Amino acid sequence: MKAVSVQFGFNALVALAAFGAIEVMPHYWIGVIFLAVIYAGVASAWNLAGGIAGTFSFGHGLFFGAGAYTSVLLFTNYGLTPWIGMLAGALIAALTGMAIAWLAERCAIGDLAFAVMTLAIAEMAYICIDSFEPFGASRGISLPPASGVAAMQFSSDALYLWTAIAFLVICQIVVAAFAQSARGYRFRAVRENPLAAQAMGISPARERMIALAASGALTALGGSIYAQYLLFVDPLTFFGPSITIKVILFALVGGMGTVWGPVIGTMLLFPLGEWLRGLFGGNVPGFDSLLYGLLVIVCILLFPRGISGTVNYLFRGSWPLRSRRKK
Amino acid sequence: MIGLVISGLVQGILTGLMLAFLTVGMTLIYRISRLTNFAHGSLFVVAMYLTFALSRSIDINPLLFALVITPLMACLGWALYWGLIHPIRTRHHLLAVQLLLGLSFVLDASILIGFGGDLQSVESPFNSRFVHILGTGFTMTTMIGASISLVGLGVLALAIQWSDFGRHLRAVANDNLAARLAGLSVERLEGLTWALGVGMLGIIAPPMSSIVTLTPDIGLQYTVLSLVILIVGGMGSLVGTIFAGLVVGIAQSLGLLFLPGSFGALLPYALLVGVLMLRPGGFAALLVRS
Amino acid sequence: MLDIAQLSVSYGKIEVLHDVSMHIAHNECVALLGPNNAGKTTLLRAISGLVPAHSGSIRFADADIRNQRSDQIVAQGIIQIPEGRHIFAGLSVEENLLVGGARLKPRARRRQLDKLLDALPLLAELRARRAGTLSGGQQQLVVICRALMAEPRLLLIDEPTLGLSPVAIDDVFTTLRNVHGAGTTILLSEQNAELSLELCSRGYVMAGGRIVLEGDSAQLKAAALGEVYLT
Ligand SMILES: Nc1ncnc2c1ncn2[C@@H]1O[C@H](COP(=O)(O)OP(=O)(O)O)[C@@H](O)[C@H]1O
Ligand SMILES: [Mg+2]
Repeated sequence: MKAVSVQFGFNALVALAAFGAIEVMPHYWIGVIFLAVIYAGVASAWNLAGGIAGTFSFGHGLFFGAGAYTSVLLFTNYGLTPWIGMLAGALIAALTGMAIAWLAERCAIGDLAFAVMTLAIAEMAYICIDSFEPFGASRGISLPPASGVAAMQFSSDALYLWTAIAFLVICQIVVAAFAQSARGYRFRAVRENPLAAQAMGISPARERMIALAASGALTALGGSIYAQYLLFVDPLTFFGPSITIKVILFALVGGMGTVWGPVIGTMLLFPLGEWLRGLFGGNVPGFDSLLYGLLVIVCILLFPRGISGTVNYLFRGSWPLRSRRKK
Repeated sequence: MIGLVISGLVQGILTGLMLAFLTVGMTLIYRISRLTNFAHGSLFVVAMYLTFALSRSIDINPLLFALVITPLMACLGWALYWGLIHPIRTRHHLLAVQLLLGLSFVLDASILIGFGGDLQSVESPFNSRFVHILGTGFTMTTMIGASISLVGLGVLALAIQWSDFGRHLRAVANDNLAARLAGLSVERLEGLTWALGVGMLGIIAPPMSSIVTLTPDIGLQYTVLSLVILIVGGMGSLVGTIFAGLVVGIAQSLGLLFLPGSFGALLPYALLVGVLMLRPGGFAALLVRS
Repeated sequence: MLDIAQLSVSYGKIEVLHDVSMHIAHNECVALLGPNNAGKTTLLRAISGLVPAHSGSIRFADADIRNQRSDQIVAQGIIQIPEGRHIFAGLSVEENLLVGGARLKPRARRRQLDKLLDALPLLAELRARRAGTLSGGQQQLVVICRALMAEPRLLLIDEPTLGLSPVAIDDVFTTLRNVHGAGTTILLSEQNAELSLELCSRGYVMAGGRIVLEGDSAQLKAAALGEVYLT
């Protein structure tokens, strides 16, 4: 567990540095960083299933939305505090993830079919919620104003940011713990060769169910926190395909299958995207996403291992944030 | 009631043929290089906007633009393969997926910059002429689009079965190593397949662009629709893709008629999940078994 | 005809062939012997351009072919029959053969096909069958004929008898003897030393990625009695 404690120490260090920065940061950038941190957490969560266990879900919007809607509905209907509501959301997402992985495994479908099946399930959820009146259909649900820590509604954006950072730290601890435990090795065995893994007595079905459940639960937490920040949920933002696409992109550019890659990828790409949008979004609509897409293409062609993977490859272990112990 | 069902069925078959033709380029690419072209829908939208641009500057029947757009799209597909796909072909296939998604961002954004975000449609004289089938009128554009698709699919099936290119394509799909050792240039064949798969979009784009409403952000929808058809069809099977296209087309048009609100849009997805649960190999597995 | 000098080949960072040198003259049949993992397959793959060689030279008919593309190498008449019966299972027998002759002009291809099918009436009967439905021995025959379709000048054969029944092994060797008799140069990688030394006049023995022994068949057979690695 040495590497975990190193990572924990690193997190603490970053937190300390961030504390000073956040107090003096302009409002706009706090918002951007809040989102970046949430995305980083979700990217990391996706990576647990997609990168480490090779369970490529294209439907993480489902988990994100499930988390957000669960905590918001519990709060608006029963007054349950989102702090507990988000755990309920995580539980629902975990069970959903387990069910999806179980179904997929039972039917023995391939990687691509699995990816598109999760995409389809998420789209179905999106379309259903989008026309389900009790949940506000496509208009979504606004949270009633009820400021207070119990309602997870803070007076300053900085506090939201801290909540998000706590979420990211939890994600990283969970992912690192998974990655470095025996379970993490089983995940990778299943990713590299499910048949060989099975021959070694590993059950691919069980490993994939666990990976997708954990990944889904973490993603749901991110969704809940984001909903509290917006004070609002709607199907497109939370269940739509865009969050999944972005998150996979971040994980991939940063370095899929490494513990820190997704976070690094998000921290580079997301603020860059926002900056481009600020620069060009107003006068030439589309120009920012053009540049962004080009950047992604260039990144993938230049660093096919991902940024973090490339660094690992170049420095061969002298890199302090080594994502895997020596094989 | 019966009349409604019949007209829905006919509409579904006509749409289904076009959807199958739209998807079959993706099928070929998947078959030869095990790669899913996640920019497929965006490339299709590019071809439709090309039709739109030409139709605004030249006043002839927009269907004729296929003669220009098809070779253009084929060159684009060929360049795509050598510029983007070939350099990373030995890497994980998800990398190519992301690369192609990045490309689809670029394409969508370019369309937005070039044409703005407004709804557009391509005027065609055939839109106001009707053909009656079993008592229901269908526009000439739909009929021609479906006929082109039917003929195109037939020609393609024959070419795959009987031409050298088709035989070589099947050989590479069967066993890459043996194909190399038989002296086939697998890279060249993959490049040609990309040219063919993307070029075919140029044939179907002109009729489709006078049927649907164009906005720059519909690329992803078409990608997903094609993916659904690809997988329901059994991933790489030409006949399977045609069947799946027809089934999805019929499901869509009947869903629009009989299901409330946007629930009709659920059908393709439900179909996909259902087929995967019952028969993971898609329709192709069904065909082989029987 | 084929001259290999100081060839080294690696997979990633691991070198598996070290300083391999070998010579094959026109119309010869040369055996390549050695235990599992000796590097025989890797050597053949390097000759066919499937794995890059990072040092040394491979010369064929006085031209350097090291690190040419595999289709260029095939074009010069070096045809390989790979290990493990790589047949186009979804294609018919006839289509398999036609793909083998991909580099010929259509008319020449047809002529070659007819010639081969005349010589092997067994295959002529099976020409419309899906290759995947044939027995192991029949498949191996199809694979050999597919290579012959390309009118090889040098035939590289990698463990053609792996997993075949004794009868099928005899068939394969009879076919190979005919092919050699018709004037094709052959490099045959085999674990079955006895049979291959009967067919070939000369041989090399590999172990651990090196050539450890070479000589004519009689010498190697004599050595085989004393050495374990020739089994
Ligand atoms: N694709 C590969 N990647 C890494 N190492 C390989 C690969 N193929 C073979 N090897 C290694 O190269 C060595 C030689 O193998 P090979 O050429 O297949 O031997 P042979 O054909 O004589 O049995 C072996 O140690 C094997 O483990
Ligand atoms: Mg071998």
